[in-house]
Amino acid sequence: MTFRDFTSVVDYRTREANSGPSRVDPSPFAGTWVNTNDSAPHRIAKLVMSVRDGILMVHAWGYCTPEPCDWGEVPAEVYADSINSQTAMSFTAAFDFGFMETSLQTNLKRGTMVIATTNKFSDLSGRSDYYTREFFYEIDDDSF
Amino acid sequence: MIELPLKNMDTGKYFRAGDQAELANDGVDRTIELAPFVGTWINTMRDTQGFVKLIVSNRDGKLFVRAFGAAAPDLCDWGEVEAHAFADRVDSRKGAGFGAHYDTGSIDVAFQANMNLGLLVLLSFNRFKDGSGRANYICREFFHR
Repeated sequence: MTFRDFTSVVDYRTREANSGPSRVDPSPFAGTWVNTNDSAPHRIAKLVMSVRDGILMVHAWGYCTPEPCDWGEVPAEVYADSINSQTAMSFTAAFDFGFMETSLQTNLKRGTMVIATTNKFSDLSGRSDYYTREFFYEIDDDSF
Repeated sequence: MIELPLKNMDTGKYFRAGDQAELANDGVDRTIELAPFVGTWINTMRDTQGFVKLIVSNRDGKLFVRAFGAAAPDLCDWGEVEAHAFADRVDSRKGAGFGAHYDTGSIDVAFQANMNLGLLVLLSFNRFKDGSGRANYICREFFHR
C-alpha cells in the first residue's frame, strides 16, 4: 500500500479491513429541510430527501417567485466522519441544468445541515461562477 | 468583418432568483480575483494527521493547488492540480472559494475551500475506490497563511 492510498495517517489500517464497498447509512438526512435564511434570493429554498434501495435521493427547490423552482431529484454520495463510522454526516450531489451546474457539498452540524454550493455557468452569459454557504433545519412535514 | 454581439438585456436562465443578472456581453473582464487564495497555507493544528500544507498559486490566470499530507520523515507531496475559483455572487469578481480534485486510483478526494476571516477552510471529501470497506468520509481543516 503506497502513501497515496490514504489522505490521512488515520486512513492507514494495520489490519485487514472488511472487503467490499463503503457502507454508510444515509438515513440521518432523510426528511424535509428548509433554509434558515428566508430573504436571500440566491438560496436553495427546500430539500426533500429520502432513501431508496440504500441510496440517498435529493430533491431540491430554489427560491423563485411566485413559486419555488423545482430542481428535480438526483442521487447523492454519502460520507461518514471517519473511516470507521457507518453513519452519514455529509453528502455531495450535483444538478445539471444545461446552462449551469450546481454542486452541493453538505455536512451536519449541531442539528443543522450546512450546504455549500458551487455554481458553474456554461452559457457564456458573463455571470461569475460563484460559491454559497447556507444553513438548513429539518421540519416535521412537507407543508412548506 | 467581425460581428460584435449586441448588448443583451436578458437576465439569463435561472433556477434561483438571485442568479438573474443583466447579461452585459460588453467585453468587461469578469475574471475572478485569485489573489485572496494565493500563498502557502499551514494547518492550524500543528499535529494534524491530515493535510499539513497547501501551496496555492496563480499561473497565467489559472489557480493551482499543491497539497502535502502528514507523514514521516517527510511530508507526502500530493502533487499539483488545477483548481476552479468561485466568486461570492453571480455579479461579483471577489474570490470566495475554490474546488480541486485528486484521484490517486484508490482514493478520490474532492476539495472544497472557502475563505473565512483570514483562514482558508478546507473540507475534503474522501471516497475510497479500492473495495477496502473503509467508509467514505469528510474532514474539515483550517489553514493560516
